[in-house]
Amino acid sequence: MSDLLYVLSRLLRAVAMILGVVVLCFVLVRLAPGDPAQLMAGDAGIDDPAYIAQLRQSMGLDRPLPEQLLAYVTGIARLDLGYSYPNRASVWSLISERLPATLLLMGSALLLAATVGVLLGVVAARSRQRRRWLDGLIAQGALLLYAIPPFWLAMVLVLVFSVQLNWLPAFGMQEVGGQLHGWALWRDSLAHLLLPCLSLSFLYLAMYVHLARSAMLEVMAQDHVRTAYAKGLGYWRILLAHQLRNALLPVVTMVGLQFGQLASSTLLIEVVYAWPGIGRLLYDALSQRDYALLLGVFLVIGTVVVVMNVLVDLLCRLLDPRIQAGALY
Amino acid sequence: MATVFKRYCRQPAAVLGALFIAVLAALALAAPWLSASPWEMNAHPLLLPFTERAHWLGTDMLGRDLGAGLLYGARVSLGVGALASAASLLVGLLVGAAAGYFGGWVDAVLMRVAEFFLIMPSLVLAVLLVAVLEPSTTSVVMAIALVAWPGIARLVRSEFMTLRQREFVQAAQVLGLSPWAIITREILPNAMGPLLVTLTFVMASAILTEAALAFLGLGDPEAMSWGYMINASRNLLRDAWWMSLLPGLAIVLLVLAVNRVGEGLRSALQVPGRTEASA
Repeated sequence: MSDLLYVLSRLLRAVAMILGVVVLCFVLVRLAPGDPAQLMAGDAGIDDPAYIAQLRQSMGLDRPLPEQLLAYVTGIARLDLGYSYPNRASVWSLISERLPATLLLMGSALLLAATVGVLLGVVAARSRQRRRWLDGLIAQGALLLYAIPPFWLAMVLVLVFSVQLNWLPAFGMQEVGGQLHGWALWRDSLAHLLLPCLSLSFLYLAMYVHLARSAMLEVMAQDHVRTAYAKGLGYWRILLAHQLRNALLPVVTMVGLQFGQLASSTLLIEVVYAWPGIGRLLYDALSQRDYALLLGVFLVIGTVVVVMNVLVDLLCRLLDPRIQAGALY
Repeated sequence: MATVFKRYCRQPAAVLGALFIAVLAALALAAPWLSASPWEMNAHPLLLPFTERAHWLGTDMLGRDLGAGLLYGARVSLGVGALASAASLLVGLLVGAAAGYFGGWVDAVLMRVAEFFLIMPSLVLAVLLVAVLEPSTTSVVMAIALVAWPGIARLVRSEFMTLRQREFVQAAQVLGLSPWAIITREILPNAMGPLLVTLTFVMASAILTEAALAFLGLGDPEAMSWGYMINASRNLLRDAWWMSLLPGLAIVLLVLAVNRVGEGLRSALQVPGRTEASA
């Protein structure tokens, strides 16, 4: 029963947060200089006050603010995120077309960063006693990676692997005009994914190395681990069941908290690699001053981030029975 | 104070970081006397570094001196970094102090708001705000502060929560001091250490966010910045590697230096946390 209650309360909070995103969008639109009707009339080259007034009326801008907010919220509930005039398409159709590419990039980078990061963190922590240089190398390397702006790293990787060595494609998601099928298509897609995925994952890899390392160091010093050694349990059993399982929790928590950051970095990486995702869409919307599209992208990314946070919270609860018992919080 | 300074000086990386920032700040302040305007197109375009003495760091596609760009870019990075951290400190202090001191529903509401901004994709939000308000130094600083304050607010709150229970605060309450006096005179000075450490990390991420915004074309159009320089080099990666490499290296070094200073302060002030990071 308490499980059900917890899930329900968590969902309720998520809904409140998504509502917060919507309200924030609404406020941001109102902050923009000149109202949408004026902008539209300006684009059409018409400077007639009567026409602008008529536009305002048809767009509902003459109604009181709370009423406008309500209309905005109900519109979004029906997936009506507005219309993008420069693209001549509805905002939702543009975003839903691009979303899978972004999720693929984010998912693969997250997977890479989490697995390699935890692995290196564990290696560093376990070599602290005998091979101090290895621990130092990994820790210092992570600190350096942490200071590198992802968009610049992306350009350096292009410079090395595409321009100099000519090993990997520098942009896009697939070979232009290449009629590829089966295995060749897979290889081509993987080659295109590799550099963006690497550039995106390094920053988070550094973070997870750090987290996993300090969590492992903490766990390794605990009594239950010593007991496990004393009982004569095997190396792998102690490492996986007694140490890693406990050290994993801060990493998983961080993945949830940092998902918004990851989404932000994805935007930059997509710009560098001309990756056909919503980050690229946002960048194009910037130069076209397409506010409807800008807000739509923010709304969708914000919602994805909130949903991801709920999932991670639930996962944490599964991983650690102590949270369920309310002993930790 | 003297022991804190001594503990700081015992860490070579932290001292080196502080030195780097000091030299860079001095160079940035002296930029108008050291070089011509970074916008001036007064040399051969696409000069390789170390080929011509007058422009030893090379030039870009318009013949603008890269050394001048780096110097003036340091002004933007350091200036925006400092201003944005100051602004987030102000907001974070106010919110965190109110939440931590008063508790109850004030705390609940403020921390929900902080959590919201903590989870949101900060750069995307900053991009939106700058795009809506028109790019300028003010809007960039405001956008960075908007996404950076929750971390400080949460720290201030937790410091207040623990300090509020201590005897000297209770004594001040018994003496009838106003909440404002207790917050500013009794609690804040005791929360200075952790706050200072967090502030350095806020500054590091502010510098990175400013660079990212400028890279997306959302910097102050009047100011030459490192992010803008990288953006300008995007289409010339094949012909002029130095145009993107140099400003990028500048960002990495500065952020690394600021982080090192933060780690140094952390262990000098004996603030608990990631003490193992510099091991």
